[in-house]
Formats: sequence, structure tokens, C-alpha cells
Amino acid sequence: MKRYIVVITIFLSCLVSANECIPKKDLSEIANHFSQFNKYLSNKDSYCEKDMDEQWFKIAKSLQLLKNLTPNEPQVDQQDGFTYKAISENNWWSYFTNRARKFSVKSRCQTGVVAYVRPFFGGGKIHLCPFFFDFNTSSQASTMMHEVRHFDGHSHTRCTQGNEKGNSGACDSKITNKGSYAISVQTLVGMARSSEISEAEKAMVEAEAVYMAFNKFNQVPELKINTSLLLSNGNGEVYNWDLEQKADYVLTMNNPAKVYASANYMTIYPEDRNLDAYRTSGDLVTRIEKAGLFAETYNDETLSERDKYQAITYLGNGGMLKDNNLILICDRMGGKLSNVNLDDKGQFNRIISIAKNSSGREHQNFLVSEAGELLSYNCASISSTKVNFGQVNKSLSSDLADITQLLSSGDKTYALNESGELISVDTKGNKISRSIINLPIENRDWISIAPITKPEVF
Amino acid sequence: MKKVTTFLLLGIVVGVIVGLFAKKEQTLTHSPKKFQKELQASVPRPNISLKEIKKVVTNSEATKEELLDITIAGQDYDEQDPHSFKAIQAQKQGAFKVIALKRLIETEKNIEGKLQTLNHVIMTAKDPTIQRVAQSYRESLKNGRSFFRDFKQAVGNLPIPN
Repeated sequence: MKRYIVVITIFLSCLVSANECIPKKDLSEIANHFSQFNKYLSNKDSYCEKDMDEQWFKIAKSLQLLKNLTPNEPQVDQQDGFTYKAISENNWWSYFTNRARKFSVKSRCQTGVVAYVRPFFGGGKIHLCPFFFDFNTSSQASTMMHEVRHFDGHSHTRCTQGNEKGNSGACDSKITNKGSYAISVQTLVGMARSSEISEAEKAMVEAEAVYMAFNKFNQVPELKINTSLLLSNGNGEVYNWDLEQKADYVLTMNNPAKVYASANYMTIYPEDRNLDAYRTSGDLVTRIEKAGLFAETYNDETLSERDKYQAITYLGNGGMLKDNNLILICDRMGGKLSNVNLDDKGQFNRIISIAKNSSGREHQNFLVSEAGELLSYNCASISSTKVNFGQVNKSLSSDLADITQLLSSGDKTYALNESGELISVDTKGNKISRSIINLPIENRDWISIAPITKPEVF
Repeated sequence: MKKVTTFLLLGIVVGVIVGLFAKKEQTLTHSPKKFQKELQASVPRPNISLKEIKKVVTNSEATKEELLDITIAGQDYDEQDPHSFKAIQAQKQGAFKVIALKRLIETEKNIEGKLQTLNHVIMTAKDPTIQRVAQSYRESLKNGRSFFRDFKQAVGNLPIPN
């Protein structure tokens, strides 16, 4: 149903967002970079279409969108990746303002032209033709980003494929060359992932990005999914193993910690429980202000309470096991924690996650008892705190006795044993076969493993 | 008497609501067999106007047949200048086709149906760009992945030029 609402409101939303007034803060920042807007600034708190010339209001609206594609405070998925609230992490605004200096509103242009720049002697001036103002804000913003890339010397080439095959100067060679069309696609995707525009507009800009990516590059982009495992050890060292022959050293953390991947972020729980858990971007360095609900819950605890945490997983439905209580986020709409006491089901001390299918994207979580008994759990729905449990399974008890962490990446399953060795696990029916992995680095003293999935375009 | 009237009125209101929902079900769901027949028989139009595409794609009750018709139609595009109004309109037209394709595939309930429809689009779409989008979409589906989500993440992983 949501899809249909999105579709219906695509155009309405464009109109609504285009007519909303601009807060003084935004216009002031725009005027800081583009002095042409200074004349519109007054004592008002916000500026509407009637307060400015119509065309300059539209330019300001698209600049406002570009500016806010880079939130000062990233709006991370506060529910630990179990709700999807993507952000644009890239600083498009500084990219844009480092190149564009002023705008020239043209009363006429060469037939059909929307906007243009003079790359080498243009002085950062973007010429906007009458047609430019016929488009909605997201198209205007994307067009302006496209144009500023020409200031860097990127020009177009003849299309050798796609719907415009044969057209001269209508394509770029490939998306990874970072030419004007690559920037357009990146800007559109930035908008599609931003919280600044409506869901309906996001659907439209997402589709525009896809069509442009597959139409405007002579080398058709390909999507590749790179999977790897992030291994952290007792010395604080982190390695990224490509599941084959390569293990790249990533960094050494100040304090040894368990690293968990959630959505596009890493949540890090130091072994020293006096230290708070925190979240970083994928580079393990850039701190994200909001650590997520699991980490915040953990951080709110006293040291003695923190010591009661036995296991944490961000896979599947997620879950924290504390003193035989299962804590998880089932109510994704409200972001409320479920807290279930497990005493009537047994005594559990670990959580493992097994892939539901060969893609390794969806995991089924199991609580594991000291004796290796398994108990599956699932959220009843995304709008309630109710948790459903399966039957206790004792068939794998002996195979799981020394496993501290188990998860799947791609179509393979990996585990850590009590010695800190990474092992490969193969589940067939009721039997588990396991073998120690011959890593290109020393295979010992690991304290956590995290599956990393990174889609790449090339 | 008053109670009877109220009851009757309530019955009428409920009847109208049920009828409306039933009508909606009728337009949005199809017999898979019937659609497969229509899928095989569908012939792509050489081109289609942006206005016509908008009309279908923004209609929440568009049928699968209508969405397929839009998806595999040719492009109404003859513009040479990449920065022109027409070029951007053509880009919009292509984007609407992508939305139509996405909606079309999402209406299929199982993976076999999705792959079959994508295969058909790959083989018949007049717009080569839509064929390529469908190919990539098909690869993602085969690997149990979400094409649109992976696409956004992959592009998002591209560095911003200095």
C-alpha cells in the first residue's frame, strides 16, 4: 500500500517541497557562499516565494537541498540498523561551494539548453536557462552538481551504447571516472538516501539515478557484492579477511574490543567494561554521535550490570543476552526494547546467527545454553514487543559446546571457538562438521568476528 | 424503526466499502496464468510519450499489463544535446520506466515469477537501457539481494572527487 501512496504523491510532494519557505539559517548560509542572495536577507525568520524573485527563490531551494544533503549530525539508524534510516554521508555542499561562485539567470539560451558553464574561464559562474526553472527542486540540484563538475575539466563523449547510442557529447566513459554524470548519479543517490526529501521524491530520484547510471556510461556499470569478515583480537588489532587468501590489517584500537557490524556502521564494545560502547562509520575511526539503542542501553548500566551481559548480536532480529534475559528491538516502529526473562526456557549464555539462505543476508538467531542446546527466537511483528520462541533443540549440543560466536557470511558459516580460533562450520541436517581455517595471518586470540557486505559499482 | 434504519444504513456503508475493496483487488491482482499468457503476447510499442507514462505510473491501480506496456516501450527521444530540456525530459521518462519495472516486479509474489518477468523485459524492451537495468536487477535477485538497495549503497560508497 505504501508503494502506491508514494507513487501517487510523487508530483504532489515536488510541488509542496518547492513551495515551502526557507528558514533564515539556511538562506544566510547560502548567502555566505553566494553573495547574490544577500539582498534578500532581512529580519524575517523565513523566506517564501513572495519574498524573493521567483527564479532566485527556486535557485535558493535547490541550494538548500544540496546544503542539507550533508547533515551536521548524521541521522543514524537509531535502532541499531533494525530500522532503515539512511543518510547521505558525503559532503556535497563543500564540494559544490568550492567550485560554484555565482549564478547567472539567462532570459534566453540556445534552443532547449537548461544550464551551462564555461569550464576554463567561467569563474565559477553557472548559467541557468529558462528551462531550468521548469524542473523540480531535485532535478535542479542534480543539474547544478553536474555543471560544477565541468569546472574540474571533465567533458562528455559520444555514446557508444544505451538509448542515446551515437549521440555526441551525451555520455561519459565510465562511472568510476567521476565525471559529470557520475556526480549527477551520486547526487541523486544522495538525495534518495537523505532524510531531507519526502519518500515520494526519493522514489523518483532513485529511479532517475538508476536510469542515468545505465544510460549515460559507455561502460555499463556492474554491481559487485564484496563480502569479508572483520576480525578483532585481544591486542586491539583489526583485520579484514576477504574469505580467501587475503587479510588486510585495518588498525589497532586503543582498547581491545568486540566489533559488530550494523547497517553501514560498526558498534564497538571495549573489553574493558569501564569503557562505553560507541559507534563508528565503516572505517572504524569516524565516531557517530548516536551509538544506537543497544549500546546506549549498555552504556546506561553500572559496571556490575555491564558484567552481566553475555552476548550481543546485530544480525537477524538482533539481541542482547543479559543474565538470562533476552533484550531486543522488535517494535521497530516505536523503537521500544523487548525484555524477556528466559528462566522458564532454560539457562542460556550465547547467541548464534545462522544464514537463512545462500545470500547470507538474513539470519536466524538462536540462544545457546551452556550444554549447547538451541532455542530459536523471532519478533512476532515489527510493531509490537512480542517475541516468539521455537522448541529447544538438543541435537547439536556436543558440536556447539566450545563455540563463542557463530555467524554466516555469504553462503558459508564461521565461528570462533574458546581458543579464539576462526573455524569453518558446515551444517548438514543434524550434524555439524567443523575445520580450523588456514588464515594468511595467525589464527588465534580472536575475540569477535563481524560479516561485512559492501556493494560496489565498477 | 429507527434501529432498523440505522442497521440498513450501516449495511449499505459496509457494502460499499467491501465493494470498493473488492474492485481494487480485482484491478491489482491477476491470475498468474493469465498474466503469463499476456506476457508472452505483449508487443512493445516503438515509443511512448512522457505524459502517457506519467499517467500510468502515478496511478496506484495500474494493472501489471499497463506497467509492462510502459516498461518495454521505446523512448520518445531524439535530442542530441545532453544538457537540453528534452534530454532531461527523456531522463525523467526513463526514470518512470524504472519505477514501472520496480512496481511490476514487486507485484510478482515468488522469485520464479519475478525472474520470468525480468527475462521477458530483457528480451523485449525497446529501450536498451531498460534491458540493462533489468539484467542487473535479475542478477541481484538470483543472488538473493535487493537491487535498488545495493545500487544506492554501491554508489554511496563511491568517493566524492577532491
